[in-house]
Amino acid sequence: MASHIDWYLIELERELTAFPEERRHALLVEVENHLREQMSDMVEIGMSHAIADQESVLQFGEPSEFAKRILGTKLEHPAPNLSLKGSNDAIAGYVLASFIFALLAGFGMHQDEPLWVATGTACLVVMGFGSFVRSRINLGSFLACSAILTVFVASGMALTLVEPGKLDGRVAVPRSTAFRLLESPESMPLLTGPMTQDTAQRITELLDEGLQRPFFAKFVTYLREGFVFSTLITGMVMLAAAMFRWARSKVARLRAKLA
Amino acid sequence: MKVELEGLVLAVLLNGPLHGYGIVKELRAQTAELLTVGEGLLYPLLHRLEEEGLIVGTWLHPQPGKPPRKTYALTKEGHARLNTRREEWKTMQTIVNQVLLREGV
Repeated sequence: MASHIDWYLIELERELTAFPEERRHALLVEVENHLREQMSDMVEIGMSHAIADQESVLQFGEPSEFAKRILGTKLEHPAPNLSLKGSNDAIAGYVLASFIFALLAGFGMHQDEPLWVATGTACLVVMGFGSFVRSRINLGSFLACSAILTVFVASGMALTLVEPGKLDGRVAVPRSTAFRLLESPESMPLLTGPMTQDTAQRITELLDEGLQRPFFAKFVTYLREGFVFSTLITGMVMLAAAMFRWARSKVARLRAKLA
Repeated sequence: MKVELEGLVLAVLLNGPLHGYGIVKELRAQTAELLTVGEGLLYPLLHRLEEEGLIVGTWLHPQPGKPPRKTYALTKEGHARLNTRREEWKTMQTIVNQVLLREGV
């Protein structure tokens, strides 16, 4: 059953985000043990559970004040910068996404890049959400995560052979298809209908162009597009995380009140 | 009344290691419930003393199935600090007594 103690621990955890994770966890365990033992003693001398629960928490004072005092103590190993901390998981997500891509597609196997981008974005979103739920959200972490996602998306798009949109959205050419098309353009029908000779010619030209253009040039082209996409995604993930935290805190308070 | 909490906590630990709540209970018991230490002050102090190497915290598993407890023990440096605090307190007491308890001329 949720209680004032549960609410207090949730609030305290939220206030202690600048504390190193390991120490924060240890402190929370220590405080929880203290609160529960104190409550148990109060119940033993005849106090009701509800009152004892409330009294134990009152002895500790406001979570924010307690956290301020704790954070005011000199730390031998201070927490990393909040912005960096907020982006740590996103960096891990990027590395994980690259690893999964390498496993799934293999380098030089000419598999579809959208798989890479989709997997990577999903990893970043999931890990970013987890990170933002645990950490305090600020402008630094927002920019850091947007930048990481931008680089990821732009590099993924730069690796495609045909730049999206060049054919007015009529056709999408992933890498595996593109290589087959280069070998025999007439064998590849369009999803929207039979491929005309002109379209086949245009695709072939674009593929040649895509093959010849250096990676860096394409990467720079997609940076702006990637930035817009990444900022949007990061903002949505942060908003979702903030709403989740808010809802979790409200539910804990409500349950404490009901208890 | 403001009290020297650091000295009191170090003095309580002189009898052996205690966990946070144990320190609170011991202080209450030794002062016949007259002194109540707010936990909001105690833990920041314990963390500072640990950082300064005056006490050392150890996680113990008292019983299977029970949560682990962090107990604090006095270090050599902690003993030395306690002696300093005692001397300071004696000096302070003497000075205050001289003024506060002086009979009117």
